Amino acid sequence: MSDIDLQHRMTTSVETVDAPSDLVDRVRQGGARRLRRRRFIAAAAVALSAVVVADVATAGPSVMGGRDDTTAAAVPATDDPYRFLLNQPTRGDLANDQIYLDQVVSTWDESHEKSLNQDRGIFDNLRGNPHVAWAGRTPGGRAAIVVQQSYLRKHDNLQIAKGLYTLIGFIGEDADGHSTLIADSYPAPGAGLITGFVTGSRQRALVMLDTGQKVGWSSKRIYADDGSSHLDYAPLKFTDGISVVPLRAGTDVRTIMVSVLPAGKFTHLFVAGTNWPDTSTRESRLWPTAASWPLGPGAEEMRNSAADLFGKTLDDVTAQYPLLAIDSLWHAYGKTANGSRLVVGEFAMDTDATRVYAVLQSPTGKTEVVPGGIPDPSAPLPVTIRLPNDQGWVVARRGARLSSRVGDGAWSTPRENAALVAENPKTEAKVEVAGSVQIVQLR
Amino acid sequence: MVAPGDDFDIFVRGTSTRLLRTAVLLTGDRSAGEDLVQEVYERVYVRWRQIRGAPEAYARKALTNLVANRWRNRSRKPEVALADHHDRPDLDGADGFAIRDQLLIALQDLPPRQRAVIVLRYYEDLTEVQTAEILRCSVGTVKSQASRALGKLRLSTEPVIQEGLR
Repeated sequence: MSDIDLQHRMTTSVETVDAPSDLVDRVRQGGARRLRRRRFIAAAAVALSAVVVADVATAGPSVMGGRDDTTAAAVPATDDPYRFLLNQPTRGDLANDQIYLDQVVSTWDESHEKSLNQDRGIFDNLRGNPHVAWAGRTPGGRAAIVVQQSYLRKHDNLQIAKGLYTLIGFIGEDADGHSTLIADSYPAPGAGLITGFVTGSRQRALVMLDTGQKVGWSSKRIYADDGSSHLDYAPLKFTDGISVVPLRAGTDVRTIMVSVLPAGKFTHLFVAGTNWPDTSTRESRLWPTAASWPLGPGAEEMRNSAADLFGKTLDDVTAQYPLLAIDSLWHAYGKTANGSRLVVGEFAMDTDATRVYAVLQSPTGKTEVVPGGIPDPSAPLPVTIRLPNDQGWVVARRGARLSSRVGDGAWSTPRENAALVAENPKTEAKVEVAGSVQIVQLR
Repeated sequence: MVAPGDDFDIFVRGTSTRLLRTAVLLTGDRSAGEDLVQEVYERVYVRWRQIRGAPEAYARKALTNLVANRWRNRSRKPEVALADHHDRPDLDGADGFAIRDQLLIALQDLPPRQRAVIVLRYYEDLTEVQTAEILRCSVGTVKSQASRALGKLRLSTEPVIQEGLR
């Protein structure tokens, strides 16, 4: 497949897609609303907020244009994956605790205004009464799953075929024992579904909905000494349509993964309450700008292939590819004394800390990954990786002049940013940054 | 702050179909693409007077960032379906639909960064340098991601393409 073939095929794939004729109007409406919101915030009109909310509450239905839908035919959508929860009696060990069930419903009812999905209009045309599909005790406190039908229709930021769909709410408890909404969701086209949640403030639990599939969970990615990494999925056992997993103290909920088994590349299921950070503004790399650092003679011919060799080799040793892979923007590359090609860089997965690796490729083509661990950006040499078979050390620090010597010998000619250093028990590296010099023993 | 004038409307009308097609390639879903494109233009609307340079480039970059954020935040709004074909591309039927569908599915099976590289390089026809600038990565990364993505696309789409040509 040539580049031109691919371009033609992509063009053909979307040639029937045209922008909707009302896009300009919708954009102007949405943009104007954003401007108003910015002005409102800029004016810090805190005192007025109660009045504004009251106005919206009164005028809401007509402003939202939803009046015509209140009488629309209530035909359930055929692609409503949460609907099965509506048709079953409340399950769980708190199913008969009417006081708690009432609390759950109140929490659900009161949560819509602050919901992340509120401005999609999914709560504008709720139908019927909320139904608690499951309520039970967990190590993280009482928890529940509540569902309610809603007549969804096209909205400013919701493109969906009109229809009656089932909304879902995941309810847990806050530190004071009060019921609180952890997340709500709806069957968005083009999006998958949240099927579980983490609840609890001191002790925590993972609560997963039984969707009829064999499912496992993993608490964290395991990094092996050979540079490979994988997730060990423990199968979940479902009772009353739910699986509850106690989470040990200190469990980092951001690293929890749930997958249909056997786990593959695109088998993840999604969990609310795991507090994934907003990675769009978070930079976790050791050195977040692009750079190429040749490590000596013979390195230049690797300039265009180094990143590929590094990335492909790490892909090959990464089982269960992550939801979020953060590639290295810098690479140091060259050849070792025995003729192996060497590339050094960093790689981070999901919410884990970035790690540095050296990738070696022997003259016969065999590749090997040498993990360098989690780098310490404040260390004199954040990257210090000992290569196997007496091939020396590779060291790196952005912006530094690096030289080395053995014992009392002469210092080598300094290199910028990264250097390949000979293996010897008496080897030490000199790190010069902005006039300061530090000596690091390589042991 | 003054609301944008007619020049904004002309800009949207002139660029929206192209941007929507890019969004569909990036997301594999028309509805999601429309959501994203509308959000992009709303952001452009708010900043219309402050945007320096070509607004198309601003919009394309905003779209790419939004797609990345959508993917990154999918623990809250995920992209894997329970129901069969829930998240399959929703293009209207036409001749050769299966082939197009297969390519869109194959694109969605790529890791997001590789998908973005392919769409920006081969659909938007940007240079490697422009693609690297939008994706905030090195030119080397663009090259390597494109290489890997092309290999995967060949493996996953060519049998169907050949069948379609019989």
